[in-house]
Amino acid sequence: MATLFLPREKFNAWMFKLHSKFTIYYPAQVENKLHYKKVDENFFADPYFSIDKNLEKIRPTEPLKGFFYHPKEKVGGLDKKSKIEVTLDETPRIIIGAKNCDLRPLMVHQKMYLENELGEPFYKAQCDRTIIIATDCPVPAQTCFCNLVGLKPYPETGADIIISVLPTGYIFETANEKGESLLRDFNHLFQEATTADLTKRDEQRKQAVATLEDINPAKLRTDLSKAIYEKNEEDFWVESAKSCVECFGCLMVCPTCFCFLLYDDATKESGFNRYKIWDACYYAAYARVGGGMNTRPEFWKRFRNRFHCKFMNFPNDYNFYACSGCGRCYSVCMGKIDIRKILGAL
Amino acid sequence: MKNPFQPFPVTITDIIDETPTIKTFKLDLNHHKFSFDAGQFIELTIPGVGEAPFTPSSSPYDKGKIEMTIMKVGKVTSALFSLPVGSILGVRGPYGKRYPLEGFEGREVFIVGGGVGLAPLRSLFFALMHNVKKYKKIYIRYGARTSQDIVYKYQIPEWKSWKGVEVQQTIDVGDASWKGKVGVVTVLLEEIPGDVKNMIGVVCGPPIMMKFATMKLLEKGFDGSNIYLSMEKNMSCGFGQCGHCRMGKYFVCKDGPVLTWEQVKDIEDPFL
Repeated sequence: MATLFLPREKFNAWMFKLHSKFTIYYPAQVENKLHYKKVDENFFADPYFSIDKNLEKIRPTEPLKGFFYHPKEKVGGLDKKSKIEVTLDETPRIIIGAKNCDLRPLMVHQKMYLENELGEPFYKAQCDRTIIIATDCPVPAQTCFCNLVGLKPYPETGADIIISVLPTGYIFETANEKGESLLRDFNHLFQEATTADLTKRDEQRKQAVATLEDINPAKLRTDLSKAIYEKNEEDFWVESAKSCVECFGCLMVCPTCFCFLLYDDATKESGFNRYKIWDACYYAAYARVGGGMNTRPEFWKRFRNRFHCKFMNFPNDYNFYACSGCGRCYSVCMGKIDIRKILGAL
Repeated sequence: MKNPFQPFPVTITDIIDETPTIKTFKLDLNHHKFSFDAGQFIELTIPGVGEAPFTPSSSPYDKGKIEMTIMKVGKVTSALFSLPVGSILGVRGPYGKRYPLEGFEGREVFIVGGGVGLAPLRSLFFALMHNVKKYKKIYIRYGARTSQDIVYKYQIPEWKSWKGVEVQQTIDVGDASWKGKVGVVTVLLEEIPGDVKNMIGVVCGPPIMMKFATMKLLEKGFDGSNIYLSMEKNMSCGFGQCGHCRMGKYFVCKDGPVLTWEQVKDIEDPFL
């Protein structure tokens, strides 16, 4: 696949062309946080506007999964004896600025939803209509720990195009046909990436890896899933969860968490709409059954379950952690619970 | 589009009052193409209220209709109990694994039910009776709290007369009308006739009953891989995506809901 260079001043020309065909989302600064925002006319109104700085920052506040699997999404229902059909949105769209820590979670969802025997047509439709342009993560933050869970601070798999921001422009690396198609008609804008460009990119990437190693020097133990399985002392988990205020923000911003609940809402016509809503294993009712029995009635067991799921069950089933080290769980935590410290103490 | 979250409409054609808290609902499938195997479950929707997993209690060989024997325990079941004949419900499924009946052939099958736990076991029992000659003998051991709490009172006497079947019952608390055994269901497990080592045990009931019945069967010499247990978990999607029913390495909806003792014995509190 191609590796091309786009001079800085031509970026918006390329975006402008794409904007006429696609809905595009990019990381925008809102107050002092990054959030995905739709590209509109204002994006091009300011001639000095450049998204460089945002592309170089760490992942946006919200996880990428929200594009593929909404917090609340209609998935069916009945109107008396008739099924309620849900139409799939097939409008093509582009997401720019996803980081590797949001790409790995797509592999988790791939395993859970798309490789499931019955599939997940709503999730699949969102994937099919999306082109992901991922970017390197040159300046990891203190909350980042992708290196601990085996990831690099630049896109590995899951992107259609990978952008590396250099001082003079952008290196574009296409990963597949979907990515190629976005560059095809723009030969006049792009040029071949030079060896010097690629060397510069590799230096930046190496620097980012080194920064992460400085932030997280201590590796996790290699037998982590076994260590979690054996860590059954109530005291350890109670102590680890001590400052948790049970807001469950950590699971809502987690890019890998895949749990959902099917929830029905009555319609006036004695039917119902069915919704798939984000759910989290920290809720007391999560594992409760009709008669009131609950596998995990105590909070420490639910707290531990998150570790069982991400660092024991998932690697045992699929050979990779269901955690990408994005650090969002720590960033949002009011109790300042650092998952790294818990994993490190195992 | 094949939508796995979408139920199809069914109609309640009859309701049988089994006990003060248990009813059997007969459902017409409105010509929908649907069949299940013993051991599998469905997701049943009460329109506008919600959905919950249940195992049919009718024979898998009955076509075009299913029966569900259900206890009133929560929001969905309470709403269901208020519905009249003719009401529309939703069904998704079937989900989960079937009993591996080919492995039961030539053996004795020892079925232990507690309370409404006899419901899914009746489906298995009917499936076994469909090919009764293939099995050496079928034992049913059924316990209920009181004589009022016994389900299928109108059928059990007939089962007792069927060839190749032996039924024993007990109730936890006796009364003047009850002439049979009194005590929890394990009192029926003290004497187990036949070839216990090769016998298939099947247990379904409340968690505490499941636990003690399993311990008793193991004590009597059953092999852990021959004891089939119906695990009750919160199963929202029914096919291994939503995460709720995870139990150790299993998704109970997809890998169960019937698992063997051998599969669950190392799991912390498997009956919780």
